Amino acid sequence: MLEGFRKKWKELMKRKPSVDTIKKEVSSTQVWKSIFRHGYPDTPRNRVAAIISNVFLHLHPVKARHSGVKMSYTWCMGGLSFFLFIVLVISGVMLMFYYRPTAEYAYYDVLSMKDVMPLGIIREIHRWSAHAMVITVWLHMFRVFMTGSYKPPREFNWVIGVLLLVLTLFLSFTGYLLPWDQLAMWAITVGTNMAGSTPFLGHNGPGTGFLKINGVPLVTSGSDIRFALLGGHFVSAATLLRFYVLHCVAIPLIAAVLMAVHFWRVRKDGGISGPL
Amino acid sequence: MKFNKAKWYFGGGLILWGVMQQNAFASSFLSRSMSFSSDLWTIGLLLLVLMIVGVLGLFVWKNIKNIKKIDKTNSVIPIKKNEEASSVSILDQPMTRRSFISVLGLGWVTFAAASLGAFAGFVRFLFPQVTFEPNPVFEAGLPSEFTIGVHSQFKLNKKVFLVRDHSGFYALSSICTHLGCIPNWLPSEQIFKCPCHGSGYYISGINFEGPAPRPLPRYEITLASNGKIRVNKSHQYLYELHQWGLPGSFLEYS
Repeated sequence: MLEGFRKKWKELMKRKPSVDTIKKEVSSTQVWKSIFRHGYPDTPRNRVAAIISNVFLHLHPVKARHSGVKMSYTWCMGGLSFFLFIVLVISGVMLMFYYRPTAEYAYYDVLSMKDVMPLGIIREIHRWSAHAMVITVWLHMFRVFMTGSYKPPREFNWVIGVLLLVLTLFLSFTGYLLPWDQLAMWAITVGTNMAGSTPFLGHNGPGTGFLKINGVPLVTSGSDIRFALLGGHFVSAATLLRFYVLHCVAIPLIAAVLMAVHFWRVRKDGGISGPL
Repeated sequence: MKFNKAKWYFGGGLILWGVMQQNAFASSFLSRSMSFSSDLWTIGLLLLVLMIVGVLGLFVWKNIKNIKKIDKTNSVIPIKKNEEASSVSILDQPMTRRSFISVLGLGWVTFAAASLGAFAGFVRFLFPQVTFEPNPVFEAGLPSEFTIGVHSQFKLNKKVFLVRDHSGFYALSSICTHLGCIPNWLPSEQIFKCPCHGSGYYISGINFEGPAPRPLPRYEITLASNGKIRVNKSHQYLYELHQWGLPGSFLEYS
């Protein structure tokens, strides 16, 4: 094997080294060929082949309509939302190396993110990206509504989009508690008390009076949806851990799956909608 | 007939899978904790499920025989006339499409039931058995320690305002009835004022301004055997249900 390599090297040395020869040599190696199955996407056939043989690109349409890439039509809000999601995942994972979701450490860890953590801007990037993502997701929904892109055959994708919007807001909500300061405490107290007023599911909600067995209420402050959300009767260390797991694992996973479905359906439903 | 056997194994395997899954999740759903009692639950549930599956299985088997009689005329697989159906093991008998589907159907029903059970178990999992929260009953101190007026020292830790007036004590919840913030006692204005959305309450706990929908609840207040004031937050008295006159809502002391 070594002998073969030596021969190859000698052959290479005889030739005049140029960008083209290096390109040719590199792209004819077994390693290159095993990763990239197709040539440069310069012909329509190669373009299609390059897209459908790539796990990331294959979710996207092979061809986009001219109006689909016009900024004035799409505002690029869906793409920006996805870009911000990626930024949030990367910066969020970085923050997870330093943050401890306990009542004892959470607040001081957040302070130390700014003060002593290397690359201390990561928390600010995470925070501002989160705010921006909520805005872009809303604007994306507004654009889709205004261009009538929810109409057949895209009704299902609209529903997936609404679920993604709710998940985005829920990510924002669960992330709100993690700094563990007064603002976080009371925001989550207020927010979860709203959950406590859900009809039939929250103990303060309408209709819970009907849910009784032999006069014993089924939905109480210790068995309603608010209790499940908080992991107790009020915002406590159990809530912090619960929201941390929801924020960092559960909701992002569900959102990622729904995003894949969302992009896939954009492609299957005929690409980005054109002007009517 | 090997292919027919495979069908049996597949249908039976699906049933067994469902039973196992159901057993695993249902035991976690029903048990109070990982203890001996949970093992008993598991064994009991397994026996119960096995009984149900056994009865259903017998029912299906019986029906297969009946189906076979009907299917003899138009069955794809010819059945020897002299062969007694009951004398041969069920695994060696040729299986009709209809009987196969019925076995498969039972498998899917078991599987669907198991999945539903698993989902119910997951929902139950989100409700903690034990919360590490402070005791709802606390002793505030001797009545003579408190002057006439509002005492805010239990406001943050116990979520209670202890109020003494000329005839005695009452314990007001310090959780705003609007969205659960903690109002402050403003001595100069003699009102409780919530910092979050501006709800205002009189010293009695009755709301008079802001978004608060109802008065602050009062908690059960009694005198313990050691002479101290005992507040029980697990029992509350609501003004709108005319409960503020009930015994326990007020501690007479002068």
